[in-house]
Amino acid sequence: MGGVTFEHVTKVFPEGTVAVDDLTLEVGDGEFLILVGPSGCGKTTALRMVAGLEKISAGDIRVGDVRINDVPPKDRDVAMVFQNYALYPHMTVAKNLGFGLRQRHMPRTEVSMRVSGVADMLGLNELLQRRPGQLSGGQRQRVAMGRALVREPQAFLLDEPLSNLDAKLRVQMRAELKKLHQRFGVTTIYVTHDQVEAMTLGDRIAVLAGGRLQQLGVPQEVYDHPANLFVAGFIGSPPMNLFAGEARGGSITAGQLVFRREGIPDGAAIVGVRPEAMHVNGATDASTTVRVDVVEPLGDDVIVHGTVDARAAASGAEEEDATLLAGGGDTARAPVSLRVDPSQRVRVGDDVPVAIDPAKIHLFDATTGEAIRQD
Amino acid sequence: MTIAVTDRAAPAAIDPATLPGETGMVERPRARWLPFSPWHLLLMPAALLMLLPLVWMVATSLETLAQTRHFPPILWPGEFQWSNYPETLRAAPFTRWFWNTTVVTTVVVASNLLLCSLAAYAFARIRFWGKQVTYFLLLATLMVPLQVVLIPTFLIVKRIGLLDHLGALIVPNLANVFGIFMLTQFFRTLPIELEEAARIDGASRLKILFTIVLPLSMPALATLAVIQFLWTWNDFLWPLVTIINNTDAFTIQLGLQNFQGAHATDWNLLMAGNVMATLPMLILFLAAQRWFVRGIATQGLKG
Amino acid sequence: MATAAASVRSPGPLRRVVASDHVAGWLFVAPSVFLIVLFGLIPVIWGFVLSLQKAGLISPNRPFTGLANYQHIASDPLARTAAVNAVYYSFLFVPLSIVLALFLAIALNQKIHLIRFYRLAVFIPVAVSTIATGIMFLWLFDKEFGLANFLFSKVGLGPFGYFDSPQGAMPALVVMTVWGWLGFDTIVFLAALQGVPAELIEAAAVDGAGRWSQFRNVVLPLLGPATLLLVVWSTISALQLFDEVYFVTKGGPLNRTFVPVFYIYRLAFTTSYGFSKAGYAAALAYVLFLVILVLTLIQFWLGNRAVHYSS
Repeated sequence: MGGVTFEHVTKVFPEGTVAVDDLTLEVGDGEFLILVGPSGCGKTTALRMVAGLEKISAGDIRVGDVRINDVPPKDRDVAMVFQNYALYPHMTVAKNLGFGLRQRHMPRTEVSMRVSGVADMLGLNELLQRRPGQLSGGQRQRVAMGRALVREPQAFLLDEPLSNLDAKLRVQMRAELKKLHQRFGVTTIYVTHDQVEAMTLGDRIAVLAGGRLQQLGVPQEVYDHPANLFVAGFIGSPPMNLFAGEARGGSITAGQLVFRREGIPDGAAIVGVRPEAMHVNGATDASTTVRVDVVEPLGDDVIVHGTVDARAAASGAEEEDATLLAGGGDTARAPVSLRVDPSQRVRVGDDVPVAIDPAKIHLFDATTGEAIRQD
Repeated sequence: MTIAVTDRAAPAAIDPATLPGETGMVERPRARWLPFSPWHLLLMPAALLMLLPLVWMVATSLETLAQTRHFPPILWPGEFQWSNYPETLRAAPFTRWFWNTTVVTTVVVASNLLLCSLAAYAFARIRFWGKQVTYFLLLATLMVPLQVVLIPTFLIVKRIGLLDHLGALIVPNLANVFGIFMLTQFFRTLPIELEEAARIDGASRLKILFTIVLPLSMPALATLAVIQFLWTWNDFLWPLVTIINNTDAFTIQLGLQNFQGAHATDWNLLMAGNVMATLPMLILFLAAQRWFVRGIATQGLKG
Repeated sequence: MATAAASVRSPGPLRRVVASDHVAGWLFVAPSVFLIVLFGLIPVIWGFVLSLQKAGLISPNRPFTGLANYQHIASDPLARTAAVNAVYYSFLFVPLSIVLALFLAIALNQKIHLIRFYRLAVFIPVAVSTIATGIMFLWLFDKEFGLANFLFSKVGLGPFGYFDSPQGAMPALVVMTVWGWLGFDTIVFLAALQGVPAELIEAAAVDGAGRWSQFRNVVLPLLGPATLLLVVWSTISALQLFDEVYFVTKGGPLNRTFVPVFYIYRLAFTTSYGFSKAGYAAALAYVLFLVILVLTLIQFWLGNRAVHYSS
């Protein structure tokens, strides 16, 4: 009761684009689920179908056990926060907040009670008589949230609500959102392209690409055990380092990197190593040397970009051809990123030996991109 | 560990209600008692009503005089009297009128495009002494209605000696404040970096205007040209006031009025003349409707 | 060691640029400014001067009569008639064209088949000149052979006199001018409608508003500015009506379509009232200008209040 279910939901636009392809997932009652993926992956379309702003081409969507495919948006008991807030510019904040309640013919007294309650909670009391045009971005965002909260719906739908805020405010609002969810426990579906937001906010995250669900799971699980290349490359910053490798008789080789793993069929494979899994001057079985190109001190951490003797592989989650310069144009070497402790004093031009814990190496099928599971 | 297996089976049948052209909202399934959208019931009669006078004009222009004097009116002439057209051309100097109007309009439009661009560029990008005051004064003239300036402008034109000449129609309209206003607003929206880069490279203001700004302003220029064309071609009051005795200098509007006076009941010829007079603007409108619509929309919204 | 020459700063390149900016600026605006001053600004001032004179168009003799012209307006029955007719026409023209335009714009904003044809049909009359429109409607409204009376007879109405009938002439004028201007108003409304962010309507839909409520609470208020602009614009053009009156009705029948600008034209450019009375005409023109100005200000003031309190 109160959850949202997608059953084989597909959306085909009139021009023929398949925006959402056979999506099946269940959002539990009170769960905070994140739909994350690059732009165009279908996450916003999926959200809009729940709201009723897009027709469902095939499949069913249920809100709290009720099939809502043909129910108009106003009768669906969901509330939505839009990316650009969509506040009614000619109404005061108070009227904006109360609009949905008045549409449902709620008595005036109850409307003003709820509105002032929400205004209290979000710190909007002094702004109640102002117009959206007179508010700052952060204030508008809170009004948009308030408008959804005041309705006390069965589900909240949030469409990249933080993407228009500046970085600091975004971090602040993330925490606020989490607190609000803990307090009210309403089923929430949250759409974002920012994987950091996804990881920090969600009870579970659903990674989408090309309209298809790539992986669904709790953040740590998705991070530690990506189901395919795309998820591996999309989740995690800096992204996972990927190399083209070859498996032969339980021994996997990717350039200079060699390690053993049992039960892997012979053939091409893609090797993935997260930046933090590479240890400078460590000692394990799997090791390679990094030629350092760029050093990025972050304060508590240092990110080092360089190249290794290996061939690079792509995940499909890359934004652009940023890899052009990384290897100095040398395509015989693969670009890598790794996290280093500041005390280790890595410098540009150094050839740094790094060791990798073999257990932390990910393997992916070279043709399908699916993760090759251990045992 | 939950990993959704992407089911690659074919998706279920597509809901036929998601047809092209529908707005994206989920609504109740379309009313099945009409095979088309109910909006057509409003729009078709409205469109026909708007086109009716024009269609009726064309139909009449192809009738014989006797047919026009028939009641009930003959809605479709059986035989097209194309001869009405040459007869009308003979009955009155339509070609002369067309020529006059074309000359006047072309010169006025070209002049406006040039002069308004120059002035607008200066107002938009150059800092010069007295700029604000001058701009304000120019805008102020926009507020003044035509009838206030009508008589004095007439006197000025008379003093210059252009009365009864096409010059009277051309010279006062060589630079239109509306055009300056519109282009100034538009130029301001162009990214200034392009021009600054050119200035650093050593280009003169004039060069920048012609090689960078104007090519980027084609939509605005097209809009201005089209609006100015319409105004000048259809202008009646000013030609009426300034072209008094010299019928050789009549524009098409004056000519039409004259023609109607002489052939008030020769409806078929009158309509033929009207068709010929209106056709150029209709064709221009059809060809350039995008600019017309855009011009009116921006003119209206920016007030 | 610094030389004397180096210690004296020559007018640097910056100063030269600034000076050339002023020159360039003026060179660019000079032709336009000259023309507009000559044919726009000076006439405004001269017009006022004229209004204080007893002047004809041709006569070089123009004695000053102070405010006599203006005083005469108050007692001039023709001026009163013109004013009444102008108000009557505006009250018919402005609401009719705006309401119709709004309906049409909403209808034209739908994504249905043939929408381009519909839009074209509505917009195209804008391209037709006032004279051509006049000729079309003279024929359409012809008492004996016109299509209008024929169609009305089919539903048992008419025959009407239209331009020939004292009561019907003004409404007929309104119909004709609305036909000509509807496209313009519709385009403005259509642009305004399309300027309403889709997100706003979606938000209203999710908030619980049905189609009518979405329109009333979101779209309509956002059309406020466009509506105000059209009301102002339409009123101004309505009060300046001339072409159609001159061409079709000549102010009649029985002065029922006698409007201010027609009166001004007649006074100054014809001998209908004796010699040209350009001075008096100029005074009338200025009074009309004043009325338009005041009316516009009132409309803006009222309009802005309405827009402010709507929700």
